Amino acid sequence: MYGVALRMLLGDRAKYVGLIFGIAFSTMLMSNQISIFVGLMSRTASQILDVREADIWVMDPRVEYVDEIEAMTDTQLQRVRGVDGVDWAVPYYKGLTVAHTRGGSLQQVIVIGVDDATLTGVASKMLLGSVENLKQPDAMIMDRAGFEFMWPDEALSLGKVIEINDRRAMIVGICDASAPFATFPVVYTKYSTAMTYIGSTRKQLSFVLVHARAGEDPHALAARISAQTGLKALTWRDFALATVGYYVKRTGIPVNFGITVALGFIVGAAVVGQTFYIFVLENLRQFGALKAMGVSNATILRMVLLQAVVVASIGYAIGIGLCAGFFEVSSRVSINLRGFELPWQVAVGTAGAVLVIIVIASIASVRKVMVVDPAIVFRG
Amino acid sequence: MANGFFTIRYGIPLFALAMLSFASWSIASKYSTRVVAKPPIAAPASPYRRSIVGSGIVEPASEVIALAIERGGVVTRVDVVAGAKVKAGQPLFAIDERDYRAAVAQGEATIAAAQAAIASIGQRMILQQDAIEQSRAGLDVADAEHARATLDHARYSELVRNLSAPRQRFETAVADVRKAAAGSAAAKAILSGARHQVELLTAQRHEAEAKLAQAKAALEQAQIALDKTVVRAPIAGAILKVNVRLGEYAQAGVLATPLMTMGSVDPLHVRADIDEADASRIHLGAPAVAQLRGNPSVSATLAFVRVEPYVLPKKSLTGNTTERVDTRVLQAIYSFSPKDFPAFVGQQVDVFIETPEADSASQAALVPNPG
Repeated sequence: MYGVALRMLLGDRAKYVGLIFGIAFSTMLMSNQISIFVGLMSRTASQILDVREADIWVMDPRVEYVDEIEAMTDTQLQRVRGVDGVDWAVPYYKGLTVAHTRGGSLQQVIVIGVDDATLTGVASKMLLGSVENLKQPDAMIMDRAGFEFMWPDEALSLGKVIEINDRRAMIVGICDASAPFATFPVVYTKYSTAMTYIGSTRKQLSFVLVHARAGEDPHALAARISAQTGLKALTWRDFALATVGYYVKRTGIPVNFGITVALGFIVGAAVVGQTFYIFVLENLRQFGALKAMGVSNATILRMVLLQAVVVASIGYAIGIGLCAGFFEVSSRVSINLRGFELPWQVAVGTAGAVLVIIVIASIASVRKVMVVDPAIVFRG
Repeated sequence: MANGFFTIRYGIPLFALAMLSFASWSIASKYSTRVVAKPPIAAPASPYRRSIVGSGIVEPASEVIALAIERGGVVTRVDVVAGAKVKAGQPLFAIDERDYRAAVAQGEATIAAAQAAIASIGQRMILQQDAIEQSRAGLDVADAEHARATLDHARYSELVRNLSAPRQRFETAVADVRKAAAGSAAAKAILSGARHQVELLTAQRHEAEAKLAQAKAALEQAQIALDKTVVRAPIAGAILKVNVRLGEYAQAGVLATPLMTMGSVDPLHVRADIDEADASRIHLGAPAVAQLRGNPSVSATLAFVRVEPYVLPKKSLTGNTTERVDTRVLQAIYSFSPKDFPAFVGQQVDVFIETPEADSASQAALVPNPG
């Protein structure tokens, strides 16, 4: 009987292809848009995600997200170190400043100052040079995208010199930092060197990075640091979520993407639902004949569902493949689209959405078959 | 038709399968859990369960002694290099001493002159004694003459009364008595004058002696000044920094950059800055360790020395004249043996001080009791 159902489906080639195309298009649109949205939002927390050594970020209580910085006094670092359960704590500076190239062009850069003694917090993937090179005088590490942005059409190389706040800064390493939301080049340097790059302000310490002792619950430790020092302490995950949450709340980005995703869903549901409905309607005579031959309603329901599932599976597989292909190509073609990829959560979620579409389409169509009079076969 | 059917029947599902596999591969290749990295260089971690942490600076047990010179001058000798171990009193550097040496020579000459003056007065005293003797003899002669004249007068007055001698002879005797009396008075005056001359000479000798004492004091002063052209080590220790070089002018007084700094380097001290907010948690004598910056595996156990009971503004700020300082720190001082911990004077270290389980009000023990 299921063979008959499939034969019925394949018999109407135009609708068969149309259904698959509808599902594939809808899948592709939804997964693509959600993936880009997720990628864009996670860019806002790039600097947090790039610090792989720390469990907890400690900051001034007024800080809401990573780009809004209220500096603290240097002695707060020592206070955090004194909290029970802290394995180690190091200072971390983040700020924006202007760099001058030898060619005379100006470029906003994100300056990140890492602890002089431990060099904790530099993006872990080094393409050229090593993190220890930061110990050299006037040394800094730049991210690959920043290098390519400042010196287009030049191969990555060490030893290039720029000027930041009238001070010499030489590239001693190139790393693969996650793309920042603001797209500026990222410059890693020693904390003390960063201080000379930004000029003198009395409070300088942006963040304290904390590593919990083995067996210590990071959440409990964060709460203890807050209680003992009066500062705000968040686990890296909470801080990243807070940062993403800030952009979701304060910008129109989710609305924009939400509309596109909804469009994909609605168009998919409408096209697929309507096509499937017409397909069932056109095959009403065949279903009627089957009923006349004594096939039960339950069997017919299963037949329709089988047809729907086959179409949905093939359509989803093609759509998700196209989406994956898009990201595979885009991330290789443009450095500005680096980091955009298809997460498995999005693939699973899209599958769920496709399932909802196909269930809606089946329910809308199968009602007609259930109530069809077998005598329809014999009518003109 | 059959071909088309084949495509529809197997081609599309196969294509779909291929696409699904591609998507799965793509997702799987990007999927990675967060790799937890270790800091490139180990970070300092507290060896205690509960601790207070301060950034410390290594200093000599004597604190840093900024050596100064009392009078300015051009440096002519530098006897030590930075790092040299010196004994108390050992010469370190010297300025041009010629002026001071000349002052000493002058002082010595003044003394010699004063001594010569005293000797000459002594000689004159001896001469004067002779003169006195001479005058005394003269007086004796005059007295004898007077006695003889008086006897003559008495004899002639008797003879004249008896008219056995002429009157003229008597009058001569009377005049002789008067003459002899005058001669005696004159001899007496000469003797008295000679004696007065001795007193005058004695006074002159006192004056000369006072001048000698004055010259001696001046010489001593000149010698001290000469001695001060050489700067010596006030205590035994090590030279930390030498800022004087041959031919430079060494300025006197307190300088922003001292001419030379030294201190006693065994044991060394660590001066730990503790945020005033943490000051209440510190316990006197609690165990503490210091760790080298950049290599926390090198650490040393510290011995508590003292807490400076004055909470002072933190020093290592930007140094901007307009800045407002509201960070104040309590300074705790610990000592360690340089054999155990290879730290240089002036190096920054991380200091971990153990605190007991319960933070009691230990600050009461630190604050000096007014009673």
